[in-house]
Amino acid sequence: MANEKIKEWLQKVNEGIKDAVTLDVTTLTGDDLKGVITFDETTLRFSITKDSIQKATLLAHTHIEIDQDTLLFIKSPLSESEKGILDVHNAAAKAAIEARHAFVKMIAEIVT
Amino acid sequence: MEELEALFPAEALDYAVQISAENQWQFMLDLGYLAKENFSREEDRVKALHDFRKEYHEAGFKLHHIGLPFGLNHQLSEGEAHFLRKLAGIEGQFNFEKLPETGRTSLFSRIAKMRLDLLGFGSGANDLPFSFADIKALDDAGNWFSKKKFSTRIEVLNAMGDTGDFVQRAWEELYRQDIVYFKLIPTVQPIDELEQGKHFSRALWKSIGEDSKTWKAYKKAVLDRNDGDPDTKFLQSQIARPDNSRMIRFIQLMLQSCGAYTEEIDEDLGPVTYDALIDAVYLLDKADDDDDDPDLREYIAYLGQGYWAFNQAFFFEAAARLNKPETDADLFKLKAGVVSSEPEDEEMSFYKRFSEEFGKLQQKDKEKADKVQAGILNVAKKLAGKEEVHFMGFADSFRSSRFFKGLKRFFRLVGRFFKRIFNKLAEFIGEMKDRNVLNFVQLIFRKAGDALRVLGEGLRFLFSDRKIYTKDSETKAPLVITDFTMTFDAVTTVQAGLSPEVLSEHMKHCLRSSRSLETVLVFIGKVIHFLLLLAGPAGWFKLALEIIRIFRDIKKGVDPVRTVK
Repeated sequence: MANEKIKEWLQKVNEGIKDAVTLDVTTLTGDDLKGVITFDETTLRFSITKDSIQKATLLAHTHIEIDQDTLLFIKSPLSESEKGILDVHNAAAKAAIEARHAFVKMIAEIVT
Repeated sequence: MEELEALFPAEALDYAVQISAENQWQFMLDLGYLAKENFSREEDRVKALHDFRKEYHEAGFKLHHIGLPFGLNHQLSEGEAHFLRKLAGIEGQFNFEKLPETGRTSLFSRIAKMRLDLLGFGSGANDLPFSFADIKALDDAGNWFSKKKFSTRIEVLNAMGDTGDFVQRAWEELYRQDIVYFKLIPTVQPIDELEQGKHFSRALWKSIGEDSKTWKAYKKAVLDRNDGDPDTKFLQSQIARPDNSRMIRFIQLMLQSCGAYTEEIDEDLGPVTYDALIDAVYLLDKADDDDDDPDLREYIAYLGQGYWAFNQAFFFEAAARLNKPETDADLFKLKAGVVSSEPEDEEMSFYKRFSEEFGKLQQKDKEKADKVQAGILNVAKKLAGKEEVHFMGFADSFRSSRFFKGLKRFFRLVGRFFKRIFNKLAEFIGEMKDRNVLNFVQLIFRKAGDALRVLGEGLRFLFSDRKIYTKDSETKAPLVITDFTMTFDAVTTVQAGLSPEVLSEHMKHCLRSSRSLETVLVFIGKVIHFLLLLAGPAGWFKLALEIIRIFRDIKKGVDPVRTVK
C-alpha cells in the first residue's frame, strides 16, 4: 500500500517535471463555443473537456521539447479568417515561449 | 594583369572601403544598367558592365582618368564602384553643367532620371533615353516649390542631387503643417502605449498650430468623435492623397540616409518602414532633449481600426535640430560657474576621447580617399572644361559608403545623447535648484514609475488565473481567450468569424502580458535570492517549503491541456 502511494507520488512528480520542461500551445476555434466558455455579468467560466470541445475545431497545436525540438500541427486547408487566427496562435506561442524563458531566468537568478 | 599592376599603384588598388558585392553594384541597379531580379545572372551582369563601360567612354572619360582599371568582364572593380558613387551619390557630390541630351541614353541621362525617380517625379525606367517627359518632370519638380527657389532646370536637377537637403526644403516649404496617415495591422509590435492620447495630440498641436487646417481636420476626425472610433472615411481619403504618399517617400529617404531603412523606396508605410521609423524615432528621442521629455508617443499614434498618424513635422524638426553644426566649444559648454569646465572631469573626458577616436578614423579614411579623389577631380574638370563640375571635398568615399554613413550618424546620435546626459549631471552637481535638474529628476521618477507599472501588471497577471480575454465591444462577452497554466502552456479559444482588429487586439494583450512577466519574474528571482541569503542554511528548507506552498496555491483550477486527455 505504501509502495503504491510512493509510486503514485513519483508518477505525479514525473508528470509535473515533464509538463514543466515541455511547452504546449493549443488553439481551438468554432462557431459554437458555448460549452467551452460561459459568461454572465460577473463571472467568466472556461473549461475544456471532451464534451465541451465537441463543436470546436483544433486549428493549431505547438509542442516544444526542452531541446527545442518542435512539433507543429496546423489544420489544412485554412480559410482566410482562419489564417488570421493562426496569427493569434503564433502570438500565443511567442508569449508562452517568452514567459517560459523568463521563468527559467528566474530560477537561474535564485540558484546563482 | 602584370601590366595593369605596373600601371596602377598597389595602394590605389588596395584603396576602398570594405563594401559587400551587392553594395558595390547598388548604383548599377539604381542607374538601370541591371534589374535587381537579374543580379544573380552572370550574363546580365556582363551586359550591364559592357553598357556602363561603353557609356563611360562616350561621356569622354578615359580608362587612365580614374586611376584604376576596369574589372573583369563580370566583375565591377573597386575603382568603378567608387566612380559610380561619386556621380550617382545622393549627397550632392556631383553637379550638372548642362542637361543631358534628349533622345539618348547616357551615363548622365541615367543619373538625371535616377534623381527624378528617387524623389517621385520619374518613371522608374532609368535605362530609357532622356526625353521631353523627363524635362516636364523637372518642370513639375521646380513648380512644386515656389518659383523663387529655382530659376532654371539645371538648378532643380542639381538640387535633387542632395536628397536630404531637397527633402528638408520640401518639408519647410510644403509639409510643415501636414500629418502622415497610414494603415497597418500590427502583428507583433505592441501598440498599447501608442494609442492616440494626450501626448500625441499635444505635440501635434504644438508642431502644426491650432489654426492650421490639418489640426482642425484631425481634431474633427479623431478627437471629437463620440463613439471613440476615428472617421475612417476621412482617414482613407487622406491616405489616398498624393502628398501623403510623397511624404512617406521622403520619410523612407530620410530613414535610408541614416541607415535605418534599406528596402525599396515605394511610398508604402508597411511593417518594414514602420520598424525603421520606430528605430529612428527612438534614436531621435534619445538624442534630442530640446523638449523636456521627448517621447515615442509624441511622434506616432494608433488611431484604431488599423489606422495610424505620424507627426512628421515633429520628426523633421527633431532631425533638423540634430543636424545643426556644433563646435567642440558648444559640445563641452557648461553653464558658467557650474563645474569648472573640464576636460579632466572623468565623464566629460570620456566623450572627448570618443570624439577624438572617431575623428582619427575619419582622418585615416580621408587620406586614403584623397589619393584617388584628386585624380578623379582633375579628370572631371578637364572633361567639362569648367570648374562647376565638382565633387564635394571631404572624404567622399567615406561619406558615400552607406554602411559608414549610417554608422557615423548613429555614433553622432549616441555621442550627443551622452553629452546631454553629462551636461545634466554637471548641472545636477552645480545647480540643484535649476529647472533642468528638476526635470531630470522628474524624468528619473517617471521612468521608475513606468518600471513599477510594468512590474504591477506582471504581478497581477502571474497571481491571477492567467487568462487573457478580448471582449466584444458591444455585448462585452469574451470572444477570444488565451489561458496560460502555471507552467505557461496555453490554450487559445477563438470564436469563428472575428474581425482582424479583434484578433490584433488580442495578440497585443498576449505579448504585453508575457513581456511584463519577464520583469516580474526577474524581480521575484532577485527577491527570493535575497531572502535565501538572509535566511541562512537553517532557514532555506523552511523558505523553500513556503515558496512551494505559495506556488501550489496559485496553481488552482484545472490544467486545460491535461483535461483534454
